[in-house]
Order: sequence, then C-alpha cells, then structure tokens
Amino acid sequence: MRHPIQRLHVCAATARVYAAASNTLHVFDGSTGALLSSWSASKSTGAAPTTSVAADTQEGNDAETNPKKKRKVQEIDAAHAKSAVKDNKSDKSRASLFSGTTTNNAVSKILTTADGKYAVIATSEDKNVTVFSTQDGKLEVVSSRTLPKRIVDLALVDKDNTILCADKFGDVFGLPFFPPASDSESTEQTTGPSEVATDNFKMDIDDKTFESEEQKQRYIEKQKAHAAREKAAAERRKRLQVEYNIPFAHDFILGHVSMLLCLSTVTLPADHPEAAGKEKTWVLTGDRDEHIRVTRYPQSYVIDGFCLGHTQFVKTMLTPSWNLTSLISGGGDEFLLVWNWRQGKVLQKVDLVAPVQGALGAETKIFVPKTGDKHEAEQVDESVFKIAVSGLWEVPTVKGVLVAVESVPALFLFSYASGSLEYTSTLALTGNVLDVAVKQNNIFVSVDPVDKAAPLVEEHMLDQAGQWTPAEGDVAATVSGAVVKAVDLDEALIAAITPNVLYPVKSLRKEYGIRDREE
Amino acid sequence: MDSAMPDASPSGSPVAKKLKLASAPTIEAPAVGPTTTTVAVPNASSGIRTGEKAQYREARKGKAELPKKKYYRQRAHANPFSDHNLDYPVHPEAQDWSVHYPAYFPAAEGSTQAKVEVADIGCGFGGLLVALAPKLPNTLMLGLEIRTQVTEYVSERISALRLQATEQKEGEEKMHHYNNISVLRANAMKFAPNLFERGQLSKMFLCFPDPHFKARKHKARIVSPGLCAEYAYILRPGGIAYTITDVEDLHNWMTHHFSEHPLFERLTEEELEGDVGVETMLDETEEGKKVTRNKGSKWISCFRRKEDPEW
Repeated sequence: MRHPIQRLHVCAATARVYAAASNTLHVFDGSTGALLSSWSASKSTGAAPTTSVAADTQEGNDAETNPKKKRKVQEIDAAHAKSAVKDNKSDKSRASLFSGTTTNNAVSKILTTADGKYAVIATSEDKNVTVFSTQDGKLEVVSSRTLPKRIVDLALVDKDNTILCADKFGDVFGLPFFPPASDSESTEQTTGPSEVATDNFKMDIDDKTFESEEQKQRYIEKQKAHAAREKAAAERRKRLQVEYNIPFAHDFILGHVSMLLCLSTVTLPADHPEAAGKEKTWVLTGDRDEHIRVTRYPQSYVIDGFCLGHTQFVKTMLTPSWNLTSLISGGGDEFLLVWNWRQGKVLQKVDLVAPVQGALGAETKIFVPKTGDKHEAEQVDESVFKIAVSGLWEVPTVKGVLVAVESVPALFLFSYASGSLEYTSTLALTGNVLDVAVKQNNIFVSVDPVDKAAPLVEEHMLDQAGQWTPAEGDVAATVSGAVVKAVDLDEALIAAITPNVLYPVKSLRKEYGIRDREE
Repeated sequence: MDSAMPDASPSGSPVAKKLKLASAPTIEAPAVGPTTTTVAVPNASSGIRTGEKAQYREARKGKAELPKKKYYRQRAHANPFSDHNLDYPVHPEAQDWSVHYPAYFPAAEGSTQAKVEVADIGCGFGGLLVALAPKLPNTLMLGLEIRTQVTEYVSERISALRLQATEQKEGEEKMHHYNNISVLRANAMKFAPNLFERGQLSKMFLCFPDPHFKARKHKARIVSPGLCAEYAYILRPGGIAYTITDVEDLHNWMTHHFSEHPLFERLTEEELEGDVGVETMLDETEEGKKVTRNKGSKWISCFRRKEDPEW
C-alpha cells in the first residue's frame, strides 16, 4: 500500500524537490519532475542503534551498556521491548520489532544548504542526522551522526557551518556541518569509560559461615560485582560534566526542561536598525509548555527574552523574510500569534476558527475554550474538532503566509503585506495537508488523499491577488507516481505508523485528566 | 525540594528499606470487591486514607495557631518533567500578586509597585522564607514548591503568622507582619519565566535540592547548563544565586555549572561575610536544621549574576 509523503522540501538554490515517504528520501528535478536519486534510512529500528551501541559494548563494561540498550528499546515501544531484547537475532523477532515500530524510521525533517550543494535530514527512530552531498541531484551520504534523543527540528547557522539539532528532551546541540577528523578518536575516548578496579577489593569473609565452597565462591562473586557496581555508580555521580552520550564533536547550545517542538533562527544583517551595526543571530525555540525562547547565538548562554502568550503547545514558528523582527507562531491554540520577538510583545492575535470552519463545513464543531480551565479541552466531546497548527510557510513573492492545520484538507493563505496578518483565501485539497514546499509562486502540497488513487502531491500557482490556480505541467503527478512506485508498505503497518508520522501534532495536547502521579 | 536520598553507605540502604517495610502497617483491602468504590481503610498510624489529614487541614483554616507539619507530609520527589496539574500565569503580567501580598498591592499612590525580588526555589516547608521575612522586612519574597500539600502547609503557616501579628496585644514584643512572604505551587524548572520578568530577582535560593544521583537523571537536577541560562535571565545583574546542600557531589555539580556559566561568578567567603541570605540559609531552613541535628556537613556556594556581555 502506498505511503503518503510526510515531508516535502524545495531547495531554493537548485529548485529540486525533496520528498520523503516513510524512511525513503527522493530527489526530483523541480521543472520536469524527473527522479534524480533516492535513499532509504535503515528500516529496522533495532539495527541502527544497536550497531552504535555494539561498538560501545566491546569497550565499556556490561553494567554500563546494558541499561543504555534497554533504554533505547523502551523508547521505541515498551510493549515490544522484551521480545526484541530476548531474541534479537532471530527473524521472528525482527518481524515483531518491525510491527512494534511507531514511525518506521520516518524522515522527520529535510533541510538544504543555501548553496544547494548539501542536504541534511533527521530520521525519527534511529535519531540520526544525516548529511548528503547532492551533486547533480545524486544523494551521497557525507556523514551520519546518532543523537541520544529523538530529533524534533533542525536548523542551520553560521553560514551553514553548524547544524542545530533540537531534541525531544529539550536540548539544542550544535554540530559542525562536517564532522572534524578528531571525531573518530574522541569516540574511543568517550566510550571506553571507568575501568572498574575490582582487584583492590577486600572482603572479610572469615566471620561468615558457608555451607559449601561453592556457596562461598558465589557469595564472593556477588559481593565483588556489587562493589564494582557501587564504585562505578559513585564515579558517575562525581562526574561534573553532563553526560549527553554524544560521541562526536558537539556544542551544547541551550536546554529547556519542557519538550521542544520547533526551532528556528533569525539573522539580522548589520544594517538592520535592531542589529546596531553588527550582524547578529538569534535562536528561537518553541516548547510544549507554551514558551517561545529567544536566545542569542553563539552567545547562547544569554536568553534575550521569552514570547509568552500561547495557552497550548507551540508547534511551529515563522519569521517572514520581509519583516525580520516579527514572528508568527502557532500550535494547539485556535489562533496564531504575531510577535515582535525582540520585545516579546504580541502584535496581533489571528483567529483560525473562521477559516477552519469554512474548510470543514458548518456542521463541524470547533473547540474554542471559554474559560481558563485547563480541563476544558478534555471535557468536550471527541467529535469536537481541536485546532492544531502543524505548519507555517512564507511565500515572499506575494508577502503571504501559508497555514496548515492538522487533519484539515485545506491550506490557508494569509497576507502579511500591510503590517498585519489578514486571512486571504483557502486552497481546498483532496486530502488532509501533510507538508508544504514553496518554489516562488508554485506551491507543492503533500496530502493524505481520501481517494486512494489520487496523487500524493498537488501543485498550485498563487497569484499576486491571492488566487489559486492548478499548476500547469505534471511535476506533482510524476513525483507522486515515483513515490508510490518506490514505497510500498503493508497496510497494517501504515495504519500503525499513521498517527505518529502523518498526524503527530494533536497528541501534543496535555492530558490533565490523568491524575498526577505524585498525588 | 527535600533531599531524601539516602546518603548512608550503600550497604546500609537496603537494610533501612527492609526495616521500613517490616514496620509499616500492611494495608490490606479487606473484602473490597471490584464494584465497591474506594473504601477508606482505617489506619491510625499511617494517617493515609483515613481522611484525618484532610479533616485537620480543613478544620484549621483561618486559625492563628501554626499548622502541624505531619498533616502535610508528601513524598519528597516530584517528577519535574511531568505535566502535573499546575496553575501558572501565561506571562508574568497575568499573575495576580494582590492575592499573595495584599498589603503591597496595589501600590500606594505616588509610589512604584513593589515586585517579588527574592525567590526560594523548592521552598519546602518554608523555613527560609519565614526566617528571612523580618530580616528583609519590605522585600517581597516568594517560595516555589511543586508538592501541593507542602505548598498548602507553607501557605497556612504564613496566614497563621500574619494573623498572629494582627492579633497581638499591646505591650507584647512587636512581631513581624509577614506580609512580604508568600508561596506558590509551581514547577520552577519549567515555569520560572512565566512568573518573573527578565532581571526581576535580586536573590534566588536553591536550598537542599533533590540530588538526582543517577548520571542519566542529570536533567532533573535543579542546576544544569540550560537552567543556569534561565536563572541568569530572571536574576538582575548583581543579583545572587545561593546554593546549599548536604550532598558533596551535588555541591560540586552545582558549583561547577554555575562557575562554568559565563554570566555567573562565584562569590568569595570574604564577600559573603555577614550576608543575610547565607546565614539564614545555613540555620533556618528545615533541611538545614535537620542536617545540623544529624551533625552532617553543609556545602554552600553563591554566585553573582554578571552583566550581559557586549555583542
């Protein structure tokens, strides 16, 4: 069965279209739609992490690596963890591991460098950041680095010399675009930890009576192991450096205690009035606890401010290229907020209920909180639609902003030409919008079509007046055709991974109904 | 945030656990069928589920006598990552401080509005706040505590003290009014920026925090590189972050991370000579007293917030 395209990207420099369906990335020529190259991330979730862990195992001691391994599997799927660990090698367990995957190692983010020569992707299950060279549209892996936590967003800074990775644990790390040569050495250093000295272990066993020599030996062994474990634990406790378990060059940039959901960077040129004569960069991070944090870069220890005003998670942010001090953000709220992010002030609250109502039809009830009560969202009927903004994209040629709401078969265009964000028009789609890529006035939209024969990608033209017309040419159709041909998955598997890969946003809403564990 | 991690030798802790288990009254569910709703199991010694605690807490509201701690105990650890069921303002301006400091809100005409300047993060049973209140008589101070019942205790304690001060008879030694301290249930690790504006605080206390020994749990510790940046955000330049702990490893950890952070510099012993914060923290916090009773060691380190660097 075909898998919809969960990620779509257009490289600004080369106009190539990148499309990711499940774990496979395709590159297409932007004008003809010809398939240039494909690449697949390893599908079996167990395989990729264990290779890296296996390397650790040889050098580290067992006590050190076993918990690590366990943890990784738990993250994948607690229900299948046990069976996966028990018989890792048999084909049968592969199958069970496979069905236990929640995302099938889907590509979760695609980026290309400004010069178009490289592409960077994040894959969800193996937590890899992979850099490709894209010479003539051929994807060649330059490097692949495994992070300890799932990657939620990527951005490029330092003129594309640093990759910023935001992880689910709330941290942002900066990785050099090309791993330095010292990386291979440092791997050995960090993975060969604490030689546990058991030789100086002394124990008074004279005052103990044993029934047999065997029992005595067992007792000694046990005590030795215990002492070794305790010693290792004490060593770890004393360590002052944070152990991120990242065996390659990286910088800690910033950390939220909340789950991060989005990351973006803004660079004000030296001649910008706010930049005071020197080019400056900021990192903006949005989290599940409604915060947007504004951090300097590379002076990332200085938080310049917060943009606080959302009442639900912040899933997506956009700084329009024609108005760099403003920021548009959206997530679990039924509105967008337009900010002056330098001052942390809300400039405008933009209602989404009316456009979404228009797209879903008048009979659909849309949830609008009436009180400040956090339980309210859970008390309403399941059938009531809760808005979750899944994406924002800019169309600089018309000074427009595209807004996608999860599980809505439409794309909303807002105009941001006059200093305020105004609803302009709705583009009706053949299925729920999954991702959008903008190539000048051509808008590519990947959809989850209701009609199982309809194409997975649509291409539309947007004119200056904000009117939509179907694009000429058949790029979308060829892209869709090639993806359908390349990615063929089991129906049950697609059903299993759909909520996590295609509709991951709505589950970010907090469930207050569940009582606190501490109480 | 009390530190309840056993600091004893590793071999000692399992024994302690066992003893605890053995002495704890076994709570059986006598003939509680699956259809019956929760039945209160009478259990005088534990106080759990008898409703005794709740009754006490309800009955003593609005009284001038100080509340008893035993009715407000709660397990020492709360997961800082879970959502809990917290009430917090969307942004600092949305917080109604007049509920907390009715004597200071709204500000008297012609004077500027006082703001919270001192925060005790993980204030526990509120010993530090109560002790600091008369020492910094007109500085607004706020305790943040994640455990509901403990927060309730501190809140009751403060209202009782305020009541005592107003009910004082003539001739008695004048008692402090305690109008300048309050407490809020909050997860400071997540929501400090929702409560405090940039540079609002002049002092911030981290007293006897949960050590979270496991290396994997480093992120749950109250001090980490990411959180230091947040503390620098809420502290004004020149403001001081105080830390105290009875766990040496944690002391080293906190000192290391604050010292490494470019916006903090450690204060020397001479600089801290006679500092009201240090003195109070050493002797007046509940944990501090406990450690003294047990003849344990206390480690202190304090850091000054530097000016933001040029850029």
